[in-house]
Amino acid sequence: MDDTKTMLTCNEAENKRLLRELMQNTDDLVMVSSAIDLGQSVTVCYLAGMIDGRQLDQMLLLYKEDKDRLPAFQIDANVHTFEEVANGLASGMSVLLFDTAGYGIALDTLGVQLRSVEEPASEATVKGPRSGFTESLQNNIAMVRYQFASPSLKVEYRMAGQLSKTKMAILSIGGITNPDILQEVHHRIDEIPADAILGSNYIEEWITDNRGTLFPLLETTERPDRVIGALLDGRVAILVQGTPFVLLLPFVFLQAFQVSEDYAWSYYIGSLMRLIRLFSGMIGLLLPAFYVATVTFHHELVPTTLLQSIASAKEPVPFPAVVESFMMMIAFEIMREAGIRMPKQVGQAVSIVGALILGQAAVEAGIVSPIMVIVAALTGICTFTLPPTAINYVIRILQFVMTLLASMLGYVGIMVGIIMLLTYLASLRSFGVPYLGPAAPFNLSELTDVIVRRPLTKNNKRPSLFRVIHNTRFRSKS
Amino acid sequence: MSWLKKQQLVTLLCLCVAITGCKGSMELNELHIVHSVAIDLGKDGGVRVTAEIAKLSTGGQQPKGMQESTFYLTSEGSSLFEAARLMRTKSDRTLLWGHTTAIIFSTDLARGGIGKQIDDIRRLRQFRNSTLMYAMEGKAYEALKVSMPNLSISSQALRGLSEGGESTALTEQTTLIEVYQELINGYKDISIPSVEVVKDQVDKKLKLLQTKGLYAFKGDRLVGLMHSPETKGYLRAAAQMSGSIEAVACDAKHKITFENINNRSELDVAFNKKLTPIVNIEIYADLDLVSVQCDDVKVDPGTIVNWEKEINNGITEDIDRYIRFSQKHKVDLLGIGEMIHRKHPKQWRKMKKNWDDIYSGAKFNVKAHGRIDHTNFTL
Amino acid sequence: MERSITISNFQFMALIVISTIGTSSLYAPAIFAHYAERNSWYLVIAGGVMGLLNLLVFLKLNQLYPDKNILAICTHLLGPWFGGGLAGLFVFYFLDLASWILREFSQFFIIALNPIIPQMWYLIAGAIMCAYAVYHGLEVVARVSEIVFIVTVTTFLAIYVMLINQYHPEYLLPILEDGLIKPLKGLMLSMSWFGDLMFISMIIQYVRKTKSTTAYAMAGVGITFLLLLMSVLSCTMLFGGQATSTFTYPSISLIQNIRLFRNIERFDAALVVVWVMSSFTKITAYFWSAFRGLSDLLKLKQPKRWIIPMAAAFVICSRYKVWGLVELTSFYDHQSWYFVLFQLFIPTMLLFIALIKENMKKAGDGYG
Repeated sequence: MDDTKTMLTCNEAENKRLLRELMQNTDDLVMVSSAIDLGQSVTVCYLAGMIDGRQLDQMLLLYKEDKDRLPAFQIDANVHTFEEVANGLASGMSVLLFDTAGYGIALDTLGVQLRSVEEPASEATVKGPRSGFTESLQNNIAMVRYQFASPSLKVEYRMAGQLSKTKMAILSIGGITNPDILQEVHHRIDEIPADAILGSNYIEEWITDNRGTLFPLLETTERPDRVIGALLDGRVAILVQGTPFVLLLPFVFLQAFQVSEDYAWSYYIGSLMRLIRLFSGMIGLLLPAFYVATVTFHHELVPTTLLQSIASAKEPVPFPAVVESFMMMIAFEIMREAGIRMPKQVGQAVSIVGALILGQAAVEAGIVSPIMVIVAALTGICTFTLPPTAINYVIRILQFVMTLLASMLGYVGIMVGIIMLLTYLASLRSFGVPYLGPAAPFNLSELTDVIVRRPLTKNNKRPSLFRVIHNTRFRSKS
Repeated sequence: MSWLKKQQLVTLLCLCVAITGCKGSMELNELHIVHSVAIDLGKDGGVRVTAEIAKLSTGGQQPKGMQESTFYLTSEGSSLFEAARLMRTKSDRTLLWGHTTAIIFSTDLARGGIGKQIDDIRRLRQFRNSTLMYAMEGKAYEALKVSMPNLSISSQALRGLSEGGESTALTEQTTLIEVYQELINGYKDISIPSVEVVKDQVDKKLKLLQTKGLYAFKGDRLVGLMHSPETKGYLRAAAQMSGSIEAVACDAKHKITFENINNRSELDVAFNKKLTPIVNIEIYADLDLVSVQCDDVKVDPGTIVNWEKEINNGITEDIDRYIRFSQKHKVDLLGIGEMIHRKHPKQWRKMKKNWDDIYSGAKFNVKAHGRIDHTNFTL
Repeated sequence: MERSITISNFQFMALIVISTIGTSSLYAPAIFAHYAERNSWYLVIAGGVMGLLNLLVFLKLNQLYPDKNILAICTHLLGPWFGGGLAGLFVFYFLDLASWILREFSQFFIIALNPIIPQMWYLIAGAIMCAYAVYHGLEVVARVSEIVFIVTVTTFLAIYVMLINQYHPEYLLPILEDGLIKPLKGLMLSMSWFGDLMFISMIIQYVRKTKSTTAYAMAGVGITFLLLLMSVLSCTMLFGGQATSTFTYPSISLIQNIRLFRNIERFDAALVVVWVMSSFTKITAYFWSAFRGLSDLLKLKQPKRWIIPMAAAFVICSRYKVWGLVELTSFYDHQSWYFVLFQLFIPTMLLFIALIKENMKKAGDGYG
C-alpha cells in the first residue's frame, strides 16, 4: 500500500467510483444516495452488517434537523481523503459524502454482534469475580474502569498492523508506573512493522525482549481483576481489539505460579495454594527425570521394599526406563491435545480409550510398568495446576530434555540441566526487569509475596522489581 | 552471528555423542537385589560369601514387596571383593549390594579378625551405613536359609529381631558404620549381636532365628560370647538399654516380675596412687510391676522398698558379671580407656601402652538405684 | 555484556561463600582430621582468621584502586613488562585453578556415585555448563549464585540439624591435648581453602559499592567459616577423629547416616545437588576470571569466541592433569603453598608496593 492520499472531490459520482475502486469493488459496500436538503444530495456509505442501522437512522435524522449538531457527537467528524473514508468504513463507520463539499462526515455507528461477558474459560476461579474480557476493546476498558474507578488510570490508544489497523489500548497508572517502562512499551509498539495483528500473541512476539526464547516474557490474562492487580504493582497492560487476552508486562518467572484467586482466600490458604503450585511445577519438570535417574543409576535411594515392588513390576517390560517414560509422556501429550481439540460429544470415548488402553492394557501387555503410568499421570496432572501461561507448555517440553539428561548422567545430569536452565532464566529480561527476580537478584521481603502470599495488611509496599515511582501502597494507621 | 551458530553446533554435536554412548546405567531388569549376606571362612584362608536374593514374581497385579521368595548364591575367593565379583559368574544379572540389610559373620571367621572384611565392605561403597551386623556360631549361611513364619526374606527377620533388643536388652542394633568407626577410632571395643538357629518349642520342625547375647571383640577379633546376664549388664552400664525384664523371688518357686522402663547410667573414672583406675558406675532405673506369681502379696511402701533392694542387687550382679567377663577377656566395651583419655590426657599417655593389663586390674564400684514407679494397677 | 556490569553486595557475598565452602566442606573434614584428628576445628578457626586477613588484603587493594582488577594493578604498579608478566601468571593461575576444580568435580562422581561412567563425560558436562554461564556474563553468574547460595546453605544446615541426635560431643575431648602448635601443620592447607576467594580480585570492581560492602564480604568469610566449622564438628562428633580421616568424602557418610521413618535413607542425592551447584559457581567464577583476564591481557576483539576453545582446553587439562584422586589430594596436601602463593603472598606483596608508592606520592605532594 502506498501512503499517497487522494483528496475527496466535489463530484459525487467521481467520489463513489474512486471509493469503490479503493475498496476493491467489494460487494458489501452499500452506498445510498438521498436528498436531505434541497439541492444537496448525500450519499450514505457503510459496509453491510458492520453497522447498527437504528443508530445510523437516528444520526441521519439529527443531521437533517440541524447540520451543526452532529459533529458534536463525533471525534473526527470530517474526513477529507479517500483513504480516511475507506479506513473508517472498514472499521465500522458510516460516511456521508456530499455532492458539493470536498469532505465527508464519518459517523461512529459500529454495531457488530459480539460475545457477551462470560466467565473466562482459561482462568476459572472458585471464589472471586467471574467476569472475563470480551473481544470488544471499549468494553474491556470499561470493565477495568468499572472495577478500578480512579482518575489516575491512564489509557493510551495505539494502532498497529498496516493492513489490519488493529486498535489497542495501553493501560497504566499515573504516579505508579515507571515512565521509562511505559516509554519503552510505546517505542516497541510503534516499531511493529507487521501487516496484521490478529491477537495479543502477535503483539507479544513483536515486542518481547528475546525473540528466540522458549519462555514467555509477557503475561496474558482474561480477567479484569488480574489486570488491575498488575497495574497496581506498577505494570503495564496492553488491550488489543478483537481478543479477550490482555498482555501484562513486565513479567517475571515466579509470577507464573500466581493466580488472582490467591487473594480471594485467607492468606494461609492462598500461600498454601501457591506453594502447591510451585511444588507441582517442580514435579512436572523433574519427576520423570527423577524416576529414570533413580531406577537406572541410584537404586540405593529407594527404600528396599519399594525397590522390590518396582523391580517386580518392571520385570516383564523390555524397554529401558527412559524409553518407557518417553512413550508414556508422549502418549499423555497426545491425549491432552486430543482432549482440547475434540468435540465434547466424543470426549468420553477418548477418556475411556486413554484410561483403558494406555493405562491398564499397556501395563498388562508388558509395554510399560505400572509405576511409570503413575509417574506420567502425576506429571501430567501437576502441570495443570499452573495458571495457563506458556510456562505450562515450557515445562512439558523441558521435562523431555531433563529426562534425556537424567538417562545419561543420572542425578548429575538433572542438576546440570537445572543449572543451565537457571543460567538461562537469569540471563533473560522482560522490559529490563530480571526474569528470575525477586529470587535472583535476591530480595527477601518481596519474595514473601511471590512464593507465598502476604497478608494484605502487611502488603504495604509495591514490588520495587518493576521500578515503581511510589513504593508505598498505604500507611498503616497505628 | 555465524560464530555463535558454530558454537551451538559444536554443543549439539557433543550432546549427540553423549546420547549415543549411554553407559553406566543399570536397568532394574538387569539387577538382582541382595538382601542379606553371610560371610564364612572358605578353603585355604579365603572367604565364602553367600548372598540372599529375592526372586521377582511377575504377572500378579499387586507387587509382593518383601514377601517374595528368595534364592541363594555362594562363591569363594581370596578376598570378600573377589568372592563378590566371582558370584557374578553364577548369576544371570548384576548384583546390587546397596540394599543389603544384614551381614552375618561366622564366628570362625570373626575369631581371625573382621577388620579386613569390614574394610572391603566399605570399599564396595554400595553398602548402607545402617546395614546390621551379626555373628553366628557355625555356618553363617544357614541363618539365611531359615524362613521365618511371616517373612521369607531373612533380612527382614534379622532387622525385626534387632529391634527386639529395645524390650529385652538381650541384643542390640549394631550397624556397619558403628563397627567401622569403632575399629578405626579405638575408643572402645566392639560387640556384635549373636544370631542362632533354634527349633520352635511347640512345632519341632519349625526352625527360627533367635538373637540372644553379644559377641565381644578385642580389636577386630572375636574373643567370647556374652550370655544374657552379661549382655544385660553391659547394655545397662553403657546406657544403651531401654527395656528389660527383672524378677524377684517371692517364695521358693514363684517370682515377681518387673518391667524396666527407663535406664540411665553414670560412669566416673578416678585413680588411686598406683594409677589403678577406679570406675564408679551408678545405675538409675525405673521399673514397673507386671506380674505377681505368689499368693498373698501386699503392695505397700514397705514391700516396694524391699523389692527395690533386691532388684538393685540383681542389677549389680548383672553388671558385675559383665565386668568379670570383660576383665577376663580384656575387652573394654564401655570405653573406659577413652574416658580416661578425655578426662586425664596426661595420665593416659603413661597408661596407654599396657592398658589391657591395667584394665583387667581396674576396680569397679557398681551402685544401682532402682525405683519401682508404678505397679500397673489393674483397671 | 559490555554495558556496565554491576553485582549487588548479596551476590558478592554469595559468590565468596559458595566458592569457598561448597566444594571444600565435602572433603575438608577428612583432611583436617588427618592433621589434627579431634582438634580439627582448631585448624578451621586458624584458617578462618587467615581467610579474613586474605580478604582484607583484597579489600584494601580495591580501596586503593577502586576501578582496577588485580591484573591492572599489577601492570600499574610494576610497569608493563614485569607487571604484565605477573598478570600473565595470574591468568595462568586462574586457568589452572579452574581445571583443578573441574577435575575435582568429576572425581567426586567417580568416587561417590558411579565408577562406570567415564570421567570424560562428567568433565564435558561440567565444562559445557560453566562455559554457558560464562557466555552469559558475570551478572548472570552472580544471579544464579544467589539461588545456589540459598539452596546450598539450607541443605548443609538441614544435614547438620537432622543428625543432631546422633552427635557425641564427648568425641571432641580432650581439647588440644597436643598443645596449640602441633595441629597447625595443616594450616597451609586450611589457608588455601579459605583463600579460594581469590577471584574476587577480578570481580570486586563490579560490585555496587555501599557502606556495607565490606561488612558483606566479611559476612561471607564468616558464613564460610561457620559452615566449615559445622561440617568439621559434626564429622568429628559423629565418627570420631581417626575414622573421619579415613573417609574420602566424610560428608557422604554423614548424610548416609540420616534416616527418616525407619527406612528412608541414602540421601546422597542431596549432596549431588550441592556439589554440582557449588562446583558450578566455583568453576565459573575462575573460568570467568581467566576469560576476563585473558581478553584484557591480549586485548581480544571478540572475546566470546574464545569460550569454547577455553572450555575444551579445560576438559583436556583436567583429564590429564593427574591420574587419580590419590595424586590429586597429595598435590593439594603438599603443594598447597602454590595456591597460597597466588592467593595471599603475591597480593600482599602488591599491597605493600602499592602502599609504599602511595606514601611516596603523598610525601612528594607534601613537598611539592
